[in-house]
Amino acid sequence: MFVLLLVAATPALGQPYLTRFATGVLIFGLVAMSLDLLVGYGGMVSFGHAAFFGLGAYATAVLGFHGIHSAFVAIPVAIGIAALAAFVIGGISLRTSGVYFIMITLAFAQMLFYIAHALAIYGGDDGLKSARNSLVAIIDLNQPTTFFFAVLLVFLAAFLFSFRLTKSRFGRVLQGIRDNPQRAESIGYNTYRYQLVGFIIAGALAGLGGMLHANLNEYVSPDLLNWEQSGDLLIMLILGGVGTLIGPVFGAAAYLFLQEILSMYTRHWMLVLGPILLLVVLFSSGGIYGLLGAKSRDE
Amino acid sequence: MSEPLLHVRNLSKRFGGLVANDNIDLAVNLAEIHALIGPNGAGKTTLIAQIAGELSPTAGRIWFDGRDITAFKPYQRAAVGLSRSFQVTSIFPSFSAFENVALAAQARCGHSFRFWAPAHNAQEINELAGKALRQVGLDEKGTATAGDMSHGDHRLLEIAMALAGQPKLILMDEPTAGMGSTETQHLVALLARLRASCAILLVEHDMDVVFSLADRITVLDNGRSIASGTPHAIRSDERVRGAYLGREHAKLSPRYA
Repeated sequence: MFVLLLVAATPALGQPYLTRFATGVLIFGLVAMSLDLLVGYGGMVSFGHAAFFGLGAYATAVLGFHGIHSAFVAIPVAIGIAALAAFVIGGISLRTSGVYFIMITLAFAQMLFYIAHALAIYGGDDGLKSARNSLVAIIDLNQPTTFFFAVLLVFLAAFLFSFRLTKSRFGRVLQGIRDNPQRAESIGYNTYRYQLVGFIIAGALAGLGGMLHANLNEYVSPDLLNWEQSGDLLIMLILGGVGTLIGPVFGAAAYLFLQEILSMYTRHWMLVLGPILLLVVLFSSGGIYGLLGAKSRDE
Repeated sequence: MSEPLLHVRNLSKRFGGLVANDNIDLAVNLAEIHALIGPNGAGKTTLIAQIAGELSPTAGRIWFDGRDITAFKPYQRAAVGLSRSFQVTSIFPSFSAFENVALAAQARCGHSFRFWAPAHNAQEINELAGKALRQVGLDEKGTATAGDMSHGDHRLLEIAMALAGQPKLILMDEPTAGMGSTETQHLVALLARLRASCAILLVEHDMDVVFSLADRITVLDNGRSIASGTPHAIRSDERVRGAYLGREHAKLSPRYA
């Protein structure tokens, strides 16, 4: 909570660069959090989560391309398209589990990546420029601080929703299926249906994150759908702490921070990230969030 | 005579060339403890898995409570009142004992596509779960993390989870597996008390348990049902003595390591 307050106070520093960075942390934090619903709470390790993130971003940019700039249109469309894609992709992928599930979600995301590549009308591999959405006349989202607070609000709403979800009847069933799918089925749950709904919710949240991301960068590219993006989201999740919901925000912050700092020195900044990830995985099962928690317990 | 609660007819299961269950008939009546016995490899677990819906039969039909459930998925069978407990403990290890039972109770309290209200505030679920835990005597250990509990407690938790589903029939696959003699006695007393509320189809190797509890016994050997009747009739059945009891008669209470 303290760290969240710190993030929320970033604009007070009056550094547009930092404000922008904090906005990015919240957006990727939101998307990594949605992935945590899948991986940490649902036991569904998806290697194609970028598909929904990228679709949300593309939906926003394509709407802008056709002259529709209202956030009140962009948000439901981005969420709806991501949810629809999650329904189809999840509907097929959840027939499998384990390694096959990982590979099928990856394959679907790559298909969308190549489609975005090939869609010349929407920029193909050059990507697509997109203007920032408008909200209402008196709120100017082009103001970095205003945009930051809009993103913060969306993030908090998504967090509250996800948090309540994990404690709800649905969340309990989802975690039961994660623990022991056979037993969940034998006590009376249609495990496929519950997992599919979980998959759709996570996909929809990622689509919302994609919508915000398109707004932040005012640009979308096929790379948003690429497997590397899915991998980055998994890294943020693991760095931050799987199954902690808020941990992935720390993971996103750490990842983006390292990327920012290290890439000033070398293009091969992943060489440094790798060992850090390894240390986190080896010495803290709860990721960065687990480390923070352990520290505060010691005090 | 009224319809049996569970009625299995001509049930067969083949795995390639291996016939695990061959033309099995079985009837379990209301409020009856029906024991299923037979040497290792006789096909008991295959039969239970087919009744629970985890394996689909090669041939034959299964009726439960007046319905043909042969094509039902396991979760649909649970919904009509058919619970099971597993031979190898099968629980939700990261949940507390209470949450394990509550999740089972929740399955019988309407759909679970409820995303906002906290599950732990659901009065109806908590009452069912609390009652099931009390029935097996685990009510003091509700907050313990299930994965950390002892083997004996796991066995009881298995049964509490089956009970929380408000079943008409529980399929119990070796509930005493790995239990000490005190724990076993405790369990026998528990199962005897349950007789009033639901029927039990019991797979069990411990003959003391079988003969002290069962109202009727069905004996499987080599995938076939070779006898079915009261404990008294089974005890004096020559074929049963030859196929099963005779071999293990010297030691009536085989225990597993």
